[in-house]
Amino acid sequence: MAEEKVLNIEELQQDDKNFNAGTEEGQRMMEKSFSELGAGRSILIDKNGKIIAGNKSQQAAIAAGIKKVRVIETTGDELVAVKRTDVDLDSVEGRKLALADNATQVVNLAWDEVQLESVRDELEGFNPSDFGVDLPDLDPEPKEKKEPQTKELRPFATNHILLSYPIDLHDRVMQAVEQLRELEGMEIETSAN
Amino acid sequence: MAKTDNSKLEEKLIIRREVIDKIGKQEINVVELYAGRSVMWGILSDEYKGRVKINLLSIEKERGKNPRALCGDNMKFIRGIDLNRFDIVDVDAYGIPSQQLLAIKRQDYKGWIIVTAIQSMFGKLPTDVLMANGMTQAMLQKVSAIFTKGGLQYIKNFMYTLGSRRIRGFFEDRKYYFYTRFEV
Repeated sequence: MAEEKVLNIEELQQDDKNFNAGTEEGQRMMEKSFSELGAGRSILIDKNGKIIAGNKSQQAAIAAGIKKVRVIETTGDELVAVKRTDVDLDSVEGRKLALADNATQVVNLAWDEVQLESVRDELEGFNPSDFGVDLPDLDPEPKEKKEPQTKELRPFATNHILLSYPIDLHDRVMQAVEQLRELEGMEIETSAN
Repeated sequence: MAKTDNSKLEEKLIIRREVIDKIGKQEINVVELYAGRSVMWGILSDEYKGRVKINLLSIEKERGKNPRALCGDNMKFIRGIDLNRFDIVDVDAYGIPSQQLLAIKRQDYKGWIIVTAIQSMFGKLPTDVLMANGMTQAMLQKVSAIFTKGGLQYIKNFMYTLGSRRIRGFFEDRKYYFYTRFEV
């Protein structure tokens, strides 16, 4: 049976070599997720209480007012599932949690190549490419000369019209829209509530 | 293969070298608003050693990330600093730094501005940029989510309204690395 204890969330130490620099937008999304939906997926810490994965989650959780962390001790031979007893997956909240969990991971990922490279140099047998992370070449001399482009800026002359109409008129409006679409430079986006 | 966040380091260095060479001084002052660990300017300082002295003021939001940086919200620092003391304002943002560019313009900044502007996964453009393109608040409230295409044109128009007349750099799908100055 796994050992369990509850700690102050701030007792967990951040990884000073965190490979994920994170993004401002990702951090905003995480804080929104914690504030609106509460905590979901667990984070991972080492035997000393140092965060292996979830450094940004700890920060976002603190920002969202979460004060405690429940620690489950394992040795990697079992999976730890967090059960939200207040959530049904097939509810708005459940689906939002599922979306937020995936979306924040994508948006908040920004590899810190300096940390990756420094740990790779320090630790024999650690190679980021084993997990598909390709370090950039920090050599300041470009291997092939890339040429920047110059773009002249001009005053723009574009008019915007937002059309809103009763759905009964849809066929007639779309006929007119299709005719307008043929005009060069015309941009048309449609959407419905 | 996943790419690291600085996978465009080479392109970013190329445009910074061009700006340093254009300025043509033996000593330049640079303020970087999204310093991170100052990787780029560290490389450039080494590269130009003995030719150009680069005085760097770094600002980084995240505490502990860069011990030499001022830590905090760059908007607060912009308001408190005379930007015209600097030859270059480096805005290497992850996102579209429209608020920062507006604040730089408000100081009537005459030097070079180096910009990284990246549209997010969902592609939504900042309200400032859309309004500079003629959208109204009412339009944005109704259909904000659909203004995600043609991002570069919106950014170009936004820069034009700030007084820029040309931008030079690398322009990829939703990622723009360029430098400019406000001429008007």
